[in-house]
Amino acid sequence: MGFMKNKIKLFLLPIIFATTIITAQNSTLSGFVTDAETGEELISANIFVAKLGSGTTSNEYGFYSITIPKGKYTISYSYIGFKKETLEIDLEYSVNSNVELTPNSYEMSEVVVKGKKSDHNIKSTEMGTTKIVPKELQAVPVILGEADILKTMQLLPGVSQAGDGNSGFFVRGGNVDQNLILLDEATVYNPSHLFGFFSVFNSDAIKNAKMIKGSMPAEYGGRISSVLDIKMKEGSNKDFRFNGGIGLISSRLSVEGPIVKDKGSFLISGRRTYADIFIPLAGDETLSNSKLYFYDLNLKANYKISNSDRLFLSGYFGRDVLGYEDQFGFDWGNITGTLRWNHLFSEKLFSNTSLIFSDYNYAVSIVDDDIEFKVTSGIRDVNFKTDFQYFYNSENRFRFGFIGFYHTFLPGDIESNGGTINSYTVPNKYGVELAAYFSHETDLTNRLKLNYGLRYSTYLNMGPGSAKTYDKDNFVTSNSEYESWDVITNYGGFEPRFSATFLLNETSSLKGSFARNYQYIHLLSTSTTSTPIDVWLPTTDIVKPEIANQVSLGYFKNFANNEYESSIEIYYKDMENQIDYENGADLYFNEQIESQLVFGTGYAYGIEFYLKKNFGNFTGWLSYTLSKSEREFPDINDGNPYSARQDRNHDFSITGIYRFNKWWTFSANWIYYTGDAVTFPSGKYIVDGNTLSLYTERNGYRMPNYHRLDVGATMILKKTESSEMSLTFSLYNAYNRKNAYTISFEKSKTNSLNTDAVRLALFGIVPSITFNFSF
Amino acid sequence: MNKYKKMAYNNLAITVIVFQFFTFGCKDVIIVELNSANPAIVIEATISDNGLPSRVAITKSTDFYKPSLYPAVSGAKVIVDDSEGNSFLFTEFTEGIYENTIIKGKPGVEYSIEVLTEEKIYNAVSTMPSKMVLDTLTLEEAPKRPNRDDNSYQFFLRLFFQDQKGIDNYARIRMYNKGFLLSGFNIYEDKVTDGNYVNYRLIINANNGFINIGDTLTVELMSIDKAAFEFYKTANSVNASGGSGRGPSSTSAAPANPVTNWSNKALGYFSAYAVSQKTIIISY
Repeated sequence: MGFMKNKIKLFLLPIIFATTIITAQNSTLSGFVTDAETGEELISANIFVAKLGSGTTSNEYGFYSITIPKGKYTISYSYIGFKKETLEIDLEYSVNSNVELTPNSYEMSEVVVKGKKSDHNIKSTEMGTTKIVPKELQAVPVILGEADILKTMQLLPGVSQAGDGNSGFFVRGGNVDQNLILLDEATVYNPSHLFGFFSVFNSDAIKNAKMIKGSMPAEYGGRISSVLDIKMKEGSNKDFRFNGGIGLISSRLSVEGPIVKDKGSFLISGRRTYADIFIPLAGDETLSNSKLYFYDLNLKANYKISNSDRLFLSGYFGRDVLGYEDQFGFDWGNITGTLRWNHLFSEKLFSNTSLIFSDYNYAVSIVDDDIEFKVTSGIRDVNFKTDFQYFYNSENRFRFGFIGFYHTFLPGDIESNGGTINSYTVPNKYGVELAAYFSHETDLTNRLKLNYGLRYSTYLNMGPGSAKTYDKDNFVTSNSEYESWDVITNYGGFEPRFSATFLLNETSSLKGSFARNYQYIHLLSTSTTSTPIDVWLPTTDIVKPEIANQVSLGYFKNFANNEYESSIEIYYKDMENQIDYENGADLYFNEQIESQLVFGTGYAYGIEFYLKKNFGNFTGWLSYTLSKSEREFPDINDGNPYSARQDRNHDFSITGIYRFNKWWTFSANWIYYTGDAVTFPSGKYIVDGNTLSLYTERNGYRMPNYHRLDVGATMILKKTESSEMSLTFSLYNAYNRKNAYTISFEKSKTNSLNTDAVRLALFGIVPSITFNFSF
Repeated sequence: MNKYKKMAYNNLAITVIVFQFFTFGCKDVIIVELNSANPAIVIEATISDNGLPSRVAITKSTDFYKPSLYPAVSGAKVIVDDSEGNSFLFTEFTEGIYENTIIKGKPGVEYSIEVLTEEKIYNAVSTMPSKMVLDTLTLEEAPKRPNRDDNSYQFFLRLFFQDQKGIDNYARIRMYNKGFLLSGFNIYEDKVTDGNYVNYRLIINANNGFINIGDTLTVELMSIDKAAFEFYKTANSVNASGGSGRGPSSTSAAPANPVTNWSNKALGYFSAYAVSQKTIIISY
C-alpha cells in the first residue's frame, strides 16, 4: 500500500514567472498541462475559473492561455483519468503556470467516480467529434487481440466499417478516400495492413485520436467526409519505460525515456506480425516458402529549447511483405516524417510550424523463367504548414494559418530486366495544393458560443505533363504539352465553416453547424475493400475537385453529474463532382485514365444517437445511426439515383466494459447493421458456352444483414508501482455468425445446369490471447 | 500484363488461404432473393478466316435460379455487308442459329452486320485484324501450388507467337478438349509486349474429370479487334462458368454487363477474327 500514498500525494508543480507585460485590467494565465508521471502534454485538459464560471482547454500541444480580469482566483485543472488539481492564484501580473496532473491509480477510481467529469461535450462548439485515447480502447475486444484505434472508431455513430474485420471506414455515407487520416500532421495514404485486417496505427505509440465527421473547423481541409487526427506519444521525459505485448500473430515493444530529464524525450515503438512462422503448420511444403508479414516502426523525439520553443521530430515506417519463393514479391507501405517547431510569441500567441513528408508506394516483382520485371507505383508529398492560435481573452480565440503541399503522383512504372515484357512508364503527375484559413471562436453570451471561419484552398495541376481531350469513344481529340512548373489547370474556392452552441441549461445544449469542403486528390479502386494497388489520382482539367456541403444539428445532454453523456445529431450533405468509372475501365498503367471516368453527384443524410456511460465499474456506449447515401451519375444506372455501396439504413453497436475487481475486467460488444447495397445478377445468359450473369440495376440488392458479438476479458497478473503484467483474452464473433464477406455467383457444383450463390464467410469464431507488460 | 496479373491473383489466393487457415473462413451455398428480369436478347456473331460457316446465335436470357437452358430466337433476318461491297444473307440452320457459308473472312476487311428480330434492329461493325501465327505450343508440369485440389495435376501450357510491332494487337486463346469447348475467355493485349516474341502462359488443371492425361487439346490463337477484346475482358468478371475470370463476386466494386459493340442494348458481341491453331497431348 506504500505506493498509494505516493500516488495520492499532490503533484502540483507550478512554475511561476512574473512577466513584465502589464495590461490595464486583464492578466493572462498560460502554460502547459502535462502528465506528472511521464511529462506528456495533455490534450484538451480543462482549465476552469470557478469565480467567473468560465474556462478553457489545453490545445493539441498541451498549451493553454486564459486572459481574465486581475484578481484572486481558484483555478482548477482536470483531465479524464487524472486527479483534479487546483491552484490558488493572485493574478496581479501575467503568469506562466505549467501544471502536472497525476493519473488515477486503480485504487483511486472509486473516489473518482464521485468526481465531476468534464462537460466539454455540452459546452464546446464541436459537433460530430469524438476523441479516443488508447487507454479507453484497451478493454474493447478485438480480432486477434490487436487493440486498434480504427476498429474502435467504427463503433461510433456515423462511422461504419468497410467489411468484416476491415480497418477501412466510411463516414456519414462518404467514400473511403474522403477521410483525411493524419499521423502527427502527416497524411497517411493507406491506413491498412494485410488488405485491411489491421490498421497501421500501433496503439502503443498513440497518444490521442480525434475524429471529426464533416463539420470540420477551418484549420482542417482537403477531404470532404471526415478528419481523423492521430497524435503519437512523446515518450516520458522523467524515466525510462518499456512496454509491449506478445500475441498469437504479432508482438509489440516500445521504449521511451528522457533525452535530457524534463527537457526532452524519445519514443521507439515497433510491431511485427509473424503469421508466416505458422505457415509450415498448414502442412503444405510450397507454402513454407511464402512470406507474409508486416511491421510498423514509430519514432519520435522532442526537445524543449526554452519555455517558449520546442522541437519535435516524428516518423513512421511500415511495410507489408508478401512473397512466394523467388518468383513473386509484393510489398507496400507508408513512410511519414514530421519536423515541428512550437513557438510562443507571447503568452497569448502560440504557433506551430511543420515540415512534413509522406510517401506511399507498392512494388510487385516477378521472376519467371522467361520474364523478370518489377512494377512500382505510389504517391509522395512534401508539405509545409504553419498555424497560429491567438488567445485574445477568455471569450475570444483566433486561429489562422497556411498549408502547402507539393504532390507527386507515380501512377506506374514497369521495369523489365529482359524477357518478353517491355519496360513501360506512365508519366508522373505533379500538383501544388495551397490553403489559408482564419477562424474565430467566441462566447457571445454565457449561453451562446460561436466558431466561424473561412478557408480558401486552391489546386494547381503542374507540368511537366499534358492535357488531353477525348470524344465519346475515348479517342484523343486534342493534346497540349506543358513544361516543368507550368500550370496546366487550377481550381480553388472558399470553404466557409460555422458552428454554434446554445446552452439550454447546465447539462444540455443545442448545436448547429455548416461546413463546405474541397477535395483535390481522389482514390480509384476496383474493389469494395481497400487494396494496396489502389490508384491516387489528382485533379486535372477533366477531373474536377470534389466538393461537399454539410449541415448538421444536434442536441447534447448529460445526466447524473456527467456520468452519462448523450447526443442526437442529424446531418445532410451533398457532394459534387463524385468519381466513378466506365464499365471495364483499366485503372492500372493507363496513361489516359481520365478518359474512362464518369462524374456525378451524391447526397447523404441521417440521424445519429449516442449514449455513453463515462465512469463507474460499468462503462460503455451505445450508438445507432439511421441513414441514407445515394449517388446520381448520368452514365450509370440510366441516370437514375442509386444507393451508394456503403449505404446502410441501420447501424447499431453496443459496447460494455465491466471492472469486476482489481484483477478482472470483462468486456463485450455487439454490432448489427443492414447489409451493404450491392449489385447482384437478375438473370443469366450464354455466350460461347459460358454462362454470364445479367445485371439490370446498380446496387439494387442488399448483402445479408450483419451482426456479431465479441467478448473479452483482461486479467492483471501482477501490478506494482512501476510495472504491470496482464493477459487479454478475446473471442471475436462469439456465436460464430457466418457473415457474408462476399457472395459470388457460379456454376453449381452439384448440378452443372444450375447456378448458385456462394457465400464466403471470412471469420468464424476467432479466439485469441495476448500477454501485455510494462515496466 | 496478363501474366503479371494472373500471378498476382495466384499469390493473392495464397494469402486468402493463409487467412482462411487462421480464420476458419468457409464457403457455402446460400439462397439469395433475386428479381426476375425481362428476357434480354443475346446475339453472338462471328466471322472467321478458318473456312467454316459464319455463324450468328440468338438467344434470350433466363432467371438466375432456372436451369441454364436459354430460349432460342427464331425467325430473325441477318445480313452482313463487307467493305468490299458484298452483301450476305444468313439462313436459319437450326432454331436460333443462323449461318452463311459464302463469306470467306479476310484480314483488313470491315464487316457490318444487321439483325432484325421481334421488330427491332441491331447493328454492329467489326474489322478482321491481321493474323498472329501460333508458332509453338509446349506443356510442362507446374510446380505444386497450394491452391489446387489434391488429386489434380496442374500444367503450364505455353503459346509462343510473334507480336506485330507498332500495331495494337489483341487476341483470345480458345481451347477445346476432344471437341468440347473449355469455358473462360483467355485474352491477350500487347500493352507491354509490343513487337516481342511472346511466351503466353496458361494454367491447365488436369485429372479433374474435364481434362485427363492423354487427352488432345486444340488451342486457337484468335486475332481479334479491340471491341471484341473489350467484350471478353469485361465478360471475364461476370463469368459464372469460371475459367480465367475470377467470377462475379460482390467484392468487385460494380459488376456490370460486358461492353458490347451491338446497338440497341443487345448483349453479346460481333467479332471478325483471324485464327491460327495447333494441338497438343496432355502428358507428363
